[in-house]
Amino acid sequence: MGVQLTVGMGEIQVVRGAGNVLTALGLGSCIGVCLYDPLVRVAGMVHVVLPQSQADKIGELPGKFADTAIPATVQRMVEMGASASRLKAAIAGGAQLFQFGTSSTLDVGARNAEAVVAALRQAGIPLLAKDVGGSVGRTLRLLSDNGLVVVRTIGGAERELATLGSILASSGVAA
Amino acid sequence: MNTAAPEKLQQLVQTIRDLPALPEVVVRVMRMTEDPRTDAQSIARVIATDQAMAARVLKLANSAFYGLPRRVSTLSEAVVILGFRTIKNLAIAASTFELLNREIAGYWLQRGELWRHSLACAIGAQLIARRIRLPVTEEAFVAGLLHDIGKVAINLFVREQFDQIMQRALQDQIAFVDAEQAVLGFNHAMAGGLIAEKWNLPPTLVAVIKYHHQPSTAPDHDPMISIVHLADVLAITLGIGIGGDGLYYHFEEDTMTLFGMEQADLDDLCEQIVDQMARAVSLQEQPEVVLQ
Repeated sequence: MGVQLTVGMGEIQVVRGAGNVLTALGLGSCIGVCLYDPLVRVAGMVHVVLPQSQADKIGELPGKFADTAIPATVQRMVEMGASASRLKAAIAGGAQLFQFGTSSTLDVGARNAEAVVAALRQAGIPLLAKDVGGSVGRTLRLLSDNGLVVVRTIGGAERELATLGSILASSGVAA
Repeated sequence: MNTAAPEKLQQLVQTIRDLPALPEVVVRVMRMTEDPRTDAQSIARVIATDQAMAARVLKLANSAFYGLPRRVSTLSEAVVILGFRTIKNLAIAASTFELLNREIAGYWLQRGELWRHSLACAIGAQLIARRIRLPVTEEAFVAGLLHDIGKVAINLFVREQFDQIMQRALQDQIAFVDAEQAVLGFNHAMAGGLIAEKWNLPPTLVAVIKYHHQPSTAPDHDPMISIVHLADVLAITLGIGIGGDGLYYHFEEDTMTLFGMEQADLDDLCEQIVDQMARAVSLQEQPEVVLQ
């Protein structure tokens, strides 16, 4: 029997085996990062809130910040039997307040996306697909069967973003 | 500004009329806290007449939010420790839970999502008030909690015309709330103002609810309106209780100048909101036994 887990803000969830589903609900400027090792079917998701951790605040919720979230998730996945070198990634979120002709100082969504991409690159994990930016809320799901990543726009359509377990999934789009 | 077709406006007025009144208990507590002769015992007695509310008030009082050094088990103790003002606000929060916890399908909000958004905004407003050293953090909490109450009233109207409203927002490059106005002839802020008036809420709360999307248009520039505006922006940006209207929201950036804030302050606030939400009390659980 698989489990269905919700990944709250700043949380990391890792599951192993088929039949599990990880979900991040209501991604605004936050980024949901999906990581998957197809060989052992270890799936991980982290709900990143802000780009950068501050030295005095690391510890309680490493998943909150892009720079600490990726290493912490990888570590949890490796502890569950995954190999860091087999991991593939897909991300969604990073929305911004709609720009009404003026520049916005509240650009945390864009900074988050940038920081997550950089952290993945640093970890050497190929980023196969991303659905970031815009002014919509998103819901992100990762299926542990095959690494299928599904994004739903709140109030809009659902679409398959990537299958991280596909044999064709080898190179990155933006890493 | 577009005006509503008369029959539609009539329907809205009827919908608002059909919404539950604020419980008598809250009305009485609000009145009592204004009266200098009131004592803690009598407030506790009034709240205790409504068991469900009493349970929620106690639960909120014991939440990590107030950081009490030990568990409070009776209402009168809670009133003494937290003070009249806080108890009044807890009573308002407890009494609006049912309404705010509803599914708001027009905005694609599942049951509980509007409550989460409202709570995040309440927490944010309180943090902002504290940061700018305004001595009204309790009021800020309630104002943040109630700012979107109008969504409950216009839910069905929005559900019927969600696609048209969204299309209008995209086409005219306007905020969703302004597209509501353009398509329906009214918006959730205005509807919320009507509810607040029906409930005889204090003028500041009415103004916050009415003008939380555009503090600059408020006749009185009460800083509370800007506080809730910024808190709402942060909660939406974080995606807490985010609906189909997404981030189609016009942020009055002067708010940051007004409060002397910069990017780093907003990041910091976001982080604190997330931390406090993680500890936020769930009012859905079974009420505990209440001792007066």
